Amino acid sequence: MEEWRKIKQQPRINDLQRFKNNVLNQIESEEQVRKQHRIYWWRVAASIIVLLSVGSYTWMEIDTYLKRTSTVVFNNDISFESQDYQRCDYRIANLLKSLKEAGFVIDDQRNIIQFSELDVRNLNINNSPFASDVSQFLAGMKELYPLKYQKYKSGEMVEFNSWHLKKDQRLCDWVK
Amino acid sequence: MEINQLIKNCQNGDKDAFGQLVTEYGNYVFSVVFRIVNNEADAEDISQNVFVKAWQNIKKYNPEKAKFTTWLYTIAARMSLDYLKTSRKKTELTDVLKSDVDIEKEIDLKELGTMIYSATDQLSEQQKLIFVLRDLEELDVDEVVEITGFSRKQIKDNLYVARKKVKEKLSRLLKVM
Repeated sequence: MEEWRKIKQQPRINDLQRFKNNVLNQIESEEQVRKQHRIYWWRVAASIIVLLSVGSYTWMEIDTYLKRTSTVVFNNDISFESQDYQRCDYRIANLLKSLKEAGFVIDDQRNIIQFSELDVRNLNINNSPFASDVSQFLAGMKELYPLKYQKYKSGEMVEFNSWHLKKDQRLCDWVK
Repeated sequence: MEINQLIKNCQNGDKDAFGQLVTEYGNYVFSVVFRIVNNEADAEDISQNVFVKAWQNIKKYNPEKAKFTTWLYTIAARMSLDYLKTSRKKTELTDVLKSDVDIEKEIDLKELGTMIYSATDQLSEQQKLIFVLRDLEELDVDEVVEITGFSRKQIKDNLYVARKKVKEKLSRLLKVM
């Protein structure tokens, strides 16, 4: 078939030399563009690094300045707070000591005190010198730990973690 | 210089070696692309881009995996199909007639482009690609599988339909002439 023979003819480039030059020129120009792109991204990366360095240096300067200036105030607070804390700790320690002397069970290992209404009643019957301390503690217990107080009133043994007692600021305030 | 040595030199960045590859395979690539797009100017542009892409990816080419021509044809086939898909410029006969370069050569390519276009314009892109590679470029099935990524069955089915359509079209054209 003549038509098919014609279709099968292999098409050829008009000017192969010109084509080759065009290809090489295009490669050259695309490499230039890529190079410029790379340079551009290097510049962007460098700018980001510089900005981050300057930013973090500035932040560090401001942060250390703020810390330096606030330390003075904070130190004052600390000193008050620690004095306050020591006073509280001392008072609670005294209270625990008197409760121990009053015969309340102090479990040093578990770090708790335990007592029931019967213990308090015995204390009052014996006219213990600690009776007023204990009644003061019970008033605080009623106010600060109502559930435990209910339990106490129902005759059950209640226990307090002495560490908790020492840390509970409300109890400190109450002991004042 | 042997082709494998040329390719090695290209992989080491030797542009002159690549120039020799362009001279060696320019017409083959142009032929595949032209038979798909049926327009000389576009075929030349696409072929140029095929070689630029080949240069940019030459380091990834592994001679143990495929023949260089297969690798090059794969790029050419993909770029030609992309051209057909994106521009949807399935060459109009009028466009083919309008192009103007070297008179003597141009008449051949115009005529050829018109003929291929007339014979294959009713084929889908897939059918056209397989028909061009298998029947016009006369590549073996394994190579067509590698270039297109289609299965042997897909190639067989598409080729059957494409041949039938081209045959009908050519006999109709002959009757008209």
